[in-house]
Amino acid sequence: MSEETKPNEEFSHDDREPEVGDVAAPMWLMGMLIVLLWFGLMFLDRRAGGFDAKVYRPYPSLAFVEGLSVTDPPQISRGRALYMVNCAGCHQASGAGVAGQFPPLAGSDWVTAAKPDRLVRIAMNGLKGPIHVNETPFNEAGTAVMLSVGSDNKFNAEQMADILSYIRAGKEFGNGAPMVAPGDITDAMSAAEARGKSQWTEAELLAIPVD
Amino acid sequence: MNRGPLLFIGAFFALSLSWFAMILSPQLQIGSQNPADALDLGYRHPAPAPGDAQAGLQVYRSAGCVYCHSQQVQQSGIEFDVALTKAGIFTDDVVKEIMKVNPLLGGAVIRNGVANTNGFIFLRDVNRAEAAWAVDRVNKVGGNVETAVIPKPTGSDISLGWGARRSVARDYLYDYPVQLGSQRIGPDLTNIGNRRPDADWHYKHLYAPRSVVPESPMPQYGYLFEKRAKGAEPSADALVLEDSEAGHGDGGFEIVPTKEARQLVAYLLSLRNGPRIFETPMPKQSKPKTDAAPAPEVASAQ
Repeated sequence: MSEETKPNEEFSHDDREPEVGDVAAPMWLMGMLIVLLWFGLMFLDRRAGGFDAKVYRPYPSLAFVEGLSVTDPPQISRGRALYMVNCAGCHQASGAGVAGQFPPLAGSDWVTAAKPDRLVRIAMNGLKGPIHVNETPFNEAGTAVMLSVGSDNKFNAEQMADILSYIRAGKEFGNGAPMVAPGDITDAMSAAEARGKSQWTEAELLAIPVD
Repeated sequence: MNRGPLLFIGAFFALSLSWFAMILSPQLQIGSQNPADALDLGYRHPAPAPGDAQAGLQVYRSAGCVYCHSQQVQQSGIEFDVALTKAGIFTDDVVKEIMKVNPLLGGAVIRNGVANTNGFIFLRDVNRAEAAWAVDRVNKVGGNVETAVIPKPTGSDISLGWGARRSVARDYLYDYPVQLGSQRIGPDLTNIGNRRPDADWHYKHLYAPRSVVPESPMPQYGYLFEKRAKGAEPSADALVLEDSEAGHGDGGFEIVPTKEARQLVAYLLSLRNGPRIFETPMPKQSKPKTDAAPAPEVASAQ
């Protein structure tokens, strides 16, 4: 109690500003902050939906919402199922192909052509020899051969139309070409079925009009 | 103080960091949204509210409704139904496959459902992986079989009927200021226009809340109504109240809503939990008979 009057006097004599010396920040604190930052970023990465304006809780990502909202036409979803079994092994699920060996389907000028007549023949009877896609050569050595996938599986016109619709109009490939109806490819299908299991070459295919 | 500039820089950095995180990044994220296509209904969502309803928002604001009512539907999860939309040609195989997918349904129900096909839901309330598995199983039958996965929002707000889906930023484009609210002393009002489409109910409820909801703690908004002496004929828009409800024993008066009350009710009736848009996967909605957007029925504008 007796000290109550004293402190002010003591401090009032000292007019100096308080000063900070050089003190190193403790390393454990730095480490803890870094760990906290890491947890925070992990949390955002998992929960923030990529900061996309179209993603809200409880949806984890834009792809998830897209998968729920945009319902594919039935041809596309059936075509996807057939593609995954029969085509994705070489051309990849993304349609990107393998450089120099298996040509891409995504963005390919063969796929986006106005008429699917060449595509039907390739898918049914297969392809051998070198081929140019978007001016880029593939299979220059001519060693790789595309088998007669369609003939081997005895695809009918509906199944072929589903597959071609998927690679032309499926959103995974971004080709944006129109879908294919079974009625559009009856001629090409009968020609391909007659040909059986002998593969086409690029020169033979280019003789077939697609405009 | 020998570290003034350092302190200043530190404080400036901390404040500007919060500005970047809390102001700038949300602005970049959702600051330039536009009305979106409602996926089923053929109109843009949201649509601007009618004039009375816009004025009603300001009445809502001045009456302080936001202190007890929220306008945000929350969603905690999503469940899926799987429906058969087309049985295709191998109906027997489809029946067998569905029996394996969901044996609890029973053979008779499945056969009947496959025969009628039209949106036969054979699996309910499953998660996404289970729904995808079921779709795979049935689609493998082939023969032009078609299935559909129906996403259904879940959560306590949704099971209370406060909305069919969660609220998203786009829903509030035309609200200024946005009346989100943080208290739920009263129910959420996001969907009140669908839940209580009757304007007379709202007038009664505003004037004498306990006349329609006996347990309601809501205050009376008598100042939104005019009490005037009865003429020879009752006014067309006078409230139909029991004397005891109105709190006026003599019965020589009638209670008439003012302009503000009409605007507020028009606003309440315009509050509808929005349609299916991209951000909110939910079951398809049936299209209304007319092509135009379903305009809120503003019964007050007589």
